[in-house]
Amino acid sequence: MQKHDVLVVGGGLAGAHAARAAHLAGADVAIVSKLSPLRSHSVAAAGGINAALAEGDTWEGHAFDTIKGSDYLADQDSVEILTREAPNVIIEMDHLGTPFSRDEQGKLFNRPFGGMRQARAFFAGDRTGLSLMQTSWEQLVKEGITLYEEWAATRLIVEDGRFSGLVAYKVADGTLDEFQAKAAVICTGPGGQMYLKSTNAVTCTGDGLAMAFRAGCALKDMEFVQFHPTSLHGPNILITEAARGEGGILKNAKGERFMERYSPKMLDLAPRDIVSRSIQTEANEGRAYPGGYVDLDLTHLGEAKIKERLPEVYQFSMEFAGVNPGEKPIPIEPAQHYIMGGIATNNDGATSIPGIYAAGECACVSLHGANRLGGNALLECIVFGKRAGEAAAAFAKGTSQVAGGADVLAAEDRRVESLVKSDGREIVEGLRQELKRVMWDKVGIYRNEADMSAAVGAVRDLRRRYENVRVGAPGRTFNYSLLEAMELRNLLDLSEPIALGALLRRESRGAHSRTDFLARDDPSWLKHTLAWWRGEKIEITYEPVRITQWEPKERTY
Amino acid sequence: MKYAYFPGCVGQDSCNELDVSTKLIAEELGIELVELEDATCSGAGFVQDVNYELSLALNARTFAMAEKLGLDILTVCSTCQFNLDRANKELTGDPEKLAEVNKMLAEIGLRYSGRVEIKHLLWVLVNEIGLGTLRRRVKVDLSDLNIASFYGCQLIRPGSLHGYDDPDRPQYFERLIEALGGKPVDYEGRKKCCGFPITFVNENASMTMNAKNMLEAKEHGADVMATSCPLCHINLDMYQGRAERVAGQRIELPILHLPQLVGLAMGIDPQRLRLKRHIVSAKAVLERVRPKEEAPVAPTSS
Amino acid sequence: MGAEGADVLVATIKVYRYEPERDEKAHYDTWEFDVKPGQTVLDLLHEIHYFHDPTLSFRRSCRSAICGSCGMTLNGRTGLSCNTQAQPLIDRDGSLVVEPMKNMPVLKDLVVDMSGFWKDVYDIRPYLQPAPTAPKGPYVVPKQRMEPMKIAQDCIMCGSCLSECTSREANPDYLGPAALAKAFRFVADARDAATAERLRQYSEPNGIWDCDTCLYCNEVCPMHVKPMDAIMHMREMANDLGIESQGSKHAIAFYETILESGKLNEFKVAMKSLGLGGLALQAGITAKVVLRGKQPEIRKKKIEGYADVKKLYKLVEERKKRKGEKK
Repeated sequence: MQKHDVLVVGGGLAGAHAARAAHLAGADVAIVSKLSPLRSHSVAAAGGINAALAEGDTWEGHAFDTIKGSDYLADQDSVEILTREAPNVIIEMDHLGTPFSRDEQGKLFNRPFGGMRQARAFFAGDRTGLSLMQTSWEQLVKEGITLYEEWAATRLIVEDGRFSGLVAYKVADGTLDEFQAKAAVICTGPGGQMYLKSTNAVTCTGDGLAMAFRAGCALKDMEFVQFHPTSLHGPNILITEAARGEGGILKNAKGERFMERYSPKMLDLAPRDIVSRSIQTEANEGRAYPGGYVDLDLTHLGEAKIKERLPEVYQFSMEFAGVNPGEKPIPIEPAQHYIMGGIATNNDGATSIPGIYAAGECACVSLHGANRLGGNALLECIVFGKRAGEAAAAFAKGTSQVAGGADVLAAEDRRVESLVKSDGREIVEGLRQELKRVMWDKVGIYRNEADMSAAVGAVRDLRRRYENVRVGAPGRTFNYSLLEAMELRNLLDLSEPIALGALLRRESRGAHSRTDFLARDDPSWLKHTLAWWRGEKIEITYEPVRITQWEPKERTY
Repeated sequence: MKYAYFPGCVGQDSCNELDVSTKLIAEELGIELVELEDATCSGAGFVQDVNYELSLALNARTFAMAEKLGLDILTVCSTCQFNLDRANKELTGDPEKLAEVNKMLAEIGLRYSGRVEIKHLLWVLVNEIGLGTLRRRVKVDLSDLNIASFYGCQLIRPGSLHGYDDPDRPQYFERLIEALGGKPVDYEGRKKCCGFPITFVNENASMTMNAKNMLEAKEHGADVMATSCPLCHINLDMYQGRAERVAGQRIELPILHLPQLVGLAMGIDPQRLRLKRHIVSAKAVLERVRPKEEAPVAPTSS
Repeated sequence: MGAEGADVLVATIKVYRYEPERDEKAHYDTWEFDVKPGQTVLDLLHEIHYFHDPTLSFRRSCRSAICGSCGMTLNGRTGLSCNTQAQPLIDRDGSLVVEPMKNMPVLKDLVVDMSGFWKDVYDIRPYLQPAPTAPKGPYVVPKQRMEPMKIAQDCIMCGSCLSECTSREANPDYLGPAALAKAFRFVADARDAATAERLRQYSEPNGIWDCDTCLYCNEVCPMHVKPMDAIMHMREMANDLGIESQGSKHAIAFYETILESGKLNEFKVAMKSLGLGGLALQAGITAKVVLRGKQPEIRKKKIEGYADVKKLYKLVEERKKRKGEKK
C-alpha cells in the first residue's frame, strides 16, 4: 500500500502541471503513469499554444474566437479563465526553458491557426507539444516529484461517495497495489482508439475517463468528437494544422482548392470540424482520390522553408509516406483526433465526487464545447492542470483520509487473475477492430439516426462479448496483452456514452454533424449532455451552458 | 591518376611504415602522389576540441593548396578523412562561412573555391583502381589467410558525410581482401571503435573495447587484421599488450596497414613494407604467404 | 510507399525472446510473413502480438516517432520500430531480425531496463537554471542565439544512441550521449545561467571527455540529434573557460604541438598527457617501441609555411574577439 496526499493519474502535460502545482502548494504528491511520462501523447502535439500576448491582441478576442469555434457550447466563464491566464502561461513556460521560436530581434513568433481571427499560436518549430512536455517533465525532475512509472491505474476507490484511493497494476511484474490518498487528479488524456482512424497513440484508451465514469463521475458532452482534417493517409498520424498556418493548401483530385466552396473567408484555416466535413464531402461526392484522401500542397513554400518551419511535417511526409513535401503534395484524410467531451469538472477541476479532480483532454469544463480550436489544448493542460493540482492540494489539506479499499484491491486482483486465465473465444484485437469499425462508420464525421442507433446496439453487444475475451498470455512480466484487454474494457465503456449522446442530440453543432438534423437548434439543444454510469444502463441528463458576454450567433467563416 | 597526398602526422612518425608502404603501392599502381608537405595536421578531433575555428582555417589552407595544384586529396587515415571532409563539406555547404574563411586565407595569399574532393585510399583502390586490376596484380597466394578488416569509426560514419559504403554493412574492405585473394572475416567489431581517442583519458575503457574487437576477430578465425587508420593501428598494435592485460588473455594478432596488405599481395618485399616495425610480429602470417602458382594450363587434346 | 498492389515480400522474421520467469537464457522465435511495401517493423510486431503470439512484449505508443517508446535493434542497428520500413531491411539482408536495445539489461523480450539511462539524464540536471531575476515578459533571445541548442533540442529519449555507444559498452559509468546531449541543450541555452558549473560537472571522469568519438550516436539518432557534436562543443567551451581535466590536458597538449610546428608531436603529447609517471607505467610499451624503432620524434621540424599557422591563429583570435559572444 502506498500513501500520499494527492495522486495524479497520468504523467503528460496536464498531469505534470497538476503534480507540480500540488507539490509547490505543499502536498505530498505522486504521479501514477501507465507510460514513462515523456511517452505521453502530449509530445505529439505539434503546432502551437494560443495566447493573447502580442501587441494589440486581447484575451476577449481569444475568448470569443474560442467560443464561436465551440459553436457556442463552451462555458464562457471557463473560457475566460483560459484566455485570461494564457499570456502568463507563455511567459512562465518560457522562463522555465521552453525553446519557443523567435525572430531575429528575439521576440516570440506566433502563427495563425484555424478559427482564430488573429495569429496567436506560439510555437517551438512544429514540436510545440514535445517542447512543452519536455520542459514540464524537467521541472518534475527538478522538484524530485515521486513517480510510479509504468503503473496503470485500473480502479478509483470511492467509499461513501468520497474518494479514498485507487488500485494500480504494475506492468513490469503484474502485481496490483492500493494507493491511498485524499485526492486524485485524473489526467489520462485522450481516448480516441475506439475509432478506426485516429491520430491518437495506441495507448490512448481513455483509462481515466472510464475509471471516473465507473466510479460515479459524470461524463460531459462525449458525443463531441473532433476529427482532424489532416492526418497522413494510411497510418493516420497527425499532420499539424500549422502546415496550413504556414500556407499549405488543400486540393482535391481535380486540383481544386475546394475550401473556397465551404469557407470562402477562412479557406483552409477554417475550424477543424468544417474542414473535416469538407474533405468528407469531397470524398462522398467522388472528387477525392480512391480511398478518400486529398492533397495538402506545400510545394510553393519550397523544401528549405518547410524544413525550417515545419520539420516534423517534413519528417513524417518523408518517412511515413515517402513524399518530399517540397516537390509533391502530401496525401491526407480526416481522422479522429480529440474528444471535446470528458469527465465533467468545474473551473477548479473538481468532479461530482469529492476528492476526484480531472484536467486536460480527459476533462470537460467545458472549454471547447462542440468543437476545439487548434492551439487551445496545450493551453488547457497547463492552465487547468495547475488549477486542478492546486485545488486538489487544498482539498487534501482540509480533509481526512477516507479509509477502506482492501476489498477493492482483492476484487481487482480476482478480476485480473480471471482475465489472465481467460480462455474465451474472442481475441482482444478482434473485438477492438470491430469496435473501431462500428464507431468510425456509424458515429463518425456524418451521423444519422439509423446508424447511431445501430451503433449503440453494436457497442452493447461487444461489451457482452467482452465477457468471453481471451488474453492468451499467461505470464505477469510485461504482459501487454493483459493490459490491452483492460484497455479494451475502457474503450467499450466509453463508446456507449459517445454513441448514445450523439443519438439523442437531434441537431448539428460543431463536430457533431447529422444528415437528418442539419441545423443547430439552440432553443432545444443549447445544453451539455451528461452521462452517468448506473451499472447496467447509462443515464443521460442535461445541464445549461454558462454564458457571460457572448450571445450565441450563427457560426460562419 | 594523380592526387594531392595528405600524409597525416602519425603516418610519417610513429607509424612511418604507413607512409612508406603507401608510396610503394602508389608507384606500383600508377597513382601519382604530389605530397602536401606543407599541410598541417587535420586536427584529429583534438584541435577541434580546443579551437574549432582554427582547425577549420588550417584545413581550408590545406584544401586551397590542393586546389592550386588542381588535384583532389588522398588520405590514408580514417581520422584525417573524417576531419578533413567534415571541414570541407562545412565550407562548401555554407557560402557565408567560406567567404569568412577566405578573408583569412587571403592574408596568407591563398583562396579556396570549394572544388576539392577528399578520398581515402580504400575508396580509391576499390572504385578507381578497380578490383579487377588489383586482382590481376596479385602475385602472392593469400588464400590461406583469414583477414579481418578494421575500418576505424570515422571512415564509415556518419553515412551522410562519406557517401561511400553502407555504414551498417560496410563492404569495401572485404571486397578488397577478396580481390587480393584473402578470406575476409565477418565479425561485428570491424565497424566499432578501437578506443584510441580515449586511450589517454580512460585507458581501461579503451583497452576493453580494443581487446574485445581483436578477440572477436580471432574467435571468427582471423589470422591477421588490416586497418585503414594509423591511430587505430597504434591502439591495435602498439597497445595490444595493454589490451591483453585488461582482457586477461593473449591476443597475438598481427595488425597490418591497408597499403601493407595491398603491397604484400602485389609481391612487394615485406622488408620494404617495414613490417618489422610493428610491435606484434607478423612473422607467423608471412610464413603462410607464398608466391602465387602459375594458373595451370588446360591440357590440350592429343 | 510502393505503388498499390506492388510486391509483397515473403520473409522470415526472427524475434529475440526472453522471459525471466521461465527462461534461463534467450532464444529466437521465427515467423514467415508476407511483408507488404510500406509496412513498418512495428506493423509486423503488432501483427505477431495481436494475432499469433500474445506473449510477445514490446513497448510502443505514438507510432509516429515522437514518443521514443519503441527503440529496438533492427538487423543489428538500433532505431525506432515505428518508422523503420521492413522491406528495405529484408531486401538488403534477406531477413528481419528484431532484438532489444543494447547496453541495457533485458527485462522481457524487447523490453529493456532504462533506469540506468534515466539516472544519467537526471544526473546532469536536466532543467533550466536561470539567473535569479527573470524579465517581466518572455526572454528576449535573438533567433540566431537559439540556433546552437537545436542540435540537441529534439531528443525524444528513445535510447538508440546509448544502445550503440561504444564508450558506454566498455564503461557502464560513462554518462552517455543522451544525457550529454541534454546537458548541452542547457549549456547552449542563452537563458541558462549555470554554464560554468555545468561544464565543470560534465568535465569530471565519465563525462564529456570519455566520448570516444565513434559517431554511432550521430548516425542512429531517429530525430537527427547530434550528441557527439554536442559533446565536442562542450569540450571547446570547457577549454575556453579553463576547466581542467585529464581529457582537456590531452587535447590542449595535442593542440599546442600543432601551434608549435603545424604537425603533431606524438612524443610531447604523450609526455604532457601522461606525465613521466604515466609513461613509466607504460614502460612495457615504451621499451618495445624503442626496440622496433617506432619511437616518435622528440622534436618536430616546423612546416615550411609555419608563418601561415601563426597568422591564421592570430586572425581567428581577432575574429573571436570581434564576435565576443558565448558560443
